[in-house]
Amino acid sequence: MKEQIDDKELLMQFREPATKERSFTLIIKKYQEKLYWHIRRMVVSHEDANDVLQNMFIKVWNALGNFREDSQLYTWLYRIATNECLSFLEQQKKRSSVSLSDVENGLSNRLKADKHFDANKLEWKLQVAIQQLPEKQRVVFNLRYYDEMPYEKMSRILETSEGALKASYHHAVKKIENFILNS
Amino acid sequence: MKSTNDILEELRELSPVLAGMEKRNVFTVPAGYFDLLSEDILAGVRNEGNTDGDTGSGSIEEVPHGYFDSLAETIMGKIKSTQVETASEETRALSPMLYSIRNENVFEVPAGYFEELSNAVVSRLTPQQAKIVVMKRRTTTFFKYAVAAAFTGVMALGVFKLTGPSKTALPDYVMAGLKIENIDQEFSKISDDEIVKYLEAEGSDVKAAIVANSVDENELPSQEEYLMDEKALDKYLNNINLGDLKN
Repeated sequence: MKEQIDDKELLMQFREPATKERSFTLIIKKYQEKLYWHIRRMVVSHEDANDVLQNMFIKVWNALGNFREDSQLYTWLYRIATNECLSFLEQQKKRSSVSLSDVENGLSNRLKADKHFDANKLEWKLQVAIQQLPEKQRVVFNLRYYDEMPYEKMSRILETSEGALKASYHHAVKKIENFILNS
Repeated sequence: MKSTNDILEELRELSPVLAGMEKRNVFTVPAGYFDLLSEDILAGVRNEGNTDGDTGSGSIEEVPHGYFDSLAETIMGKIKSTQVETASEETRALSPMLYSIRNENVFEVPAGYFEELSNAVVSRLTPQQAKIVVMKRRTTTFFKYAVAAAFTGVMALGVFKLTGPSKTALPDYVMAGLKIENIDQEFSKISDDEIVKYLEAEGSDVKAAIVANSVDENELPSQEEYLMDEKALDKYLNNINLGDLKN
């Protein structure tokens, strides 16, 4: 397996004009899958996830020169990705002039329109259940459930206390469980 | 007893109400607490001595019954309670059902998507600069105003000729035009030479109209020329041979 370059080294290379583009390509390759799945679970469709991911990386390109190394690159990228997701969902809400719950229903409908969708399969029920959660609780659930992120790290990304995040995750798990058992 | 009486007297002076109330303790202690208190304190003192390294007076019989049986579990419990619970442990504890399906992914990604993603992003970082053609736009603007000015001049001239106090005779085809209903049809009967002849005879507004309709935009003075010489346009117009333009 190809060894990944340390973030500090990548950032140093990014500051050198000669290696800037190469190091940025390596940053994309290093984090693309984690960030893609984080975004995809929020916006559901691949096309939307791809748009959000690419726009996010372009913003990163513009801001990376001013990135302060007192926070981790990984945390910073997740924060940008999360904000981009929430902005995207907000824009969709404004464009369609509907409430957020309608947008969430729209996400559920997108799931149901998937050619592989099977309402009897637990994993699909789970996805539909996740879409019923409020956006920020969905972010917390996904980061903890899928990315297995420690609360301490999540706290830095979402700028919320660890206690509040833990309570949010516990509520989310119980809501999802109830939804699945009652559907 | 004198002092007690003094205190009571003091209280009576301060608050007759309080001094008159019966003193009753509302707090309680466990039954036999005071009977065993001294023994408990001594046992505490002995334990304290043991922790300081004085093991001589200590004995295994003084350890609570079953203490060592549960000691390892107690310590492990305390260690676990201070450890940070991992996400999967937490999920398993909260919902074994969700834990069991956590690795199922229902979403699909197009083949080769991640291999091409970085190229797609990098290609968007240096967009091509839009071509800016400044002069074309400015000459067009000038041309637009020139046409508008000429048209307005011709219209004003026409109105003046028709309504002014010293009317001069208009050509027959113009007078006929005032009476006709289908202007387009009647205009088509007039030759270009007749129109030019009339316009040449009717002053500078008409010349401007001819210029506006005939000149090549690219030959007009540039923006820099206007800035350097405010009479650039006049000079240009004076150099135009209207006889050439009408052909």
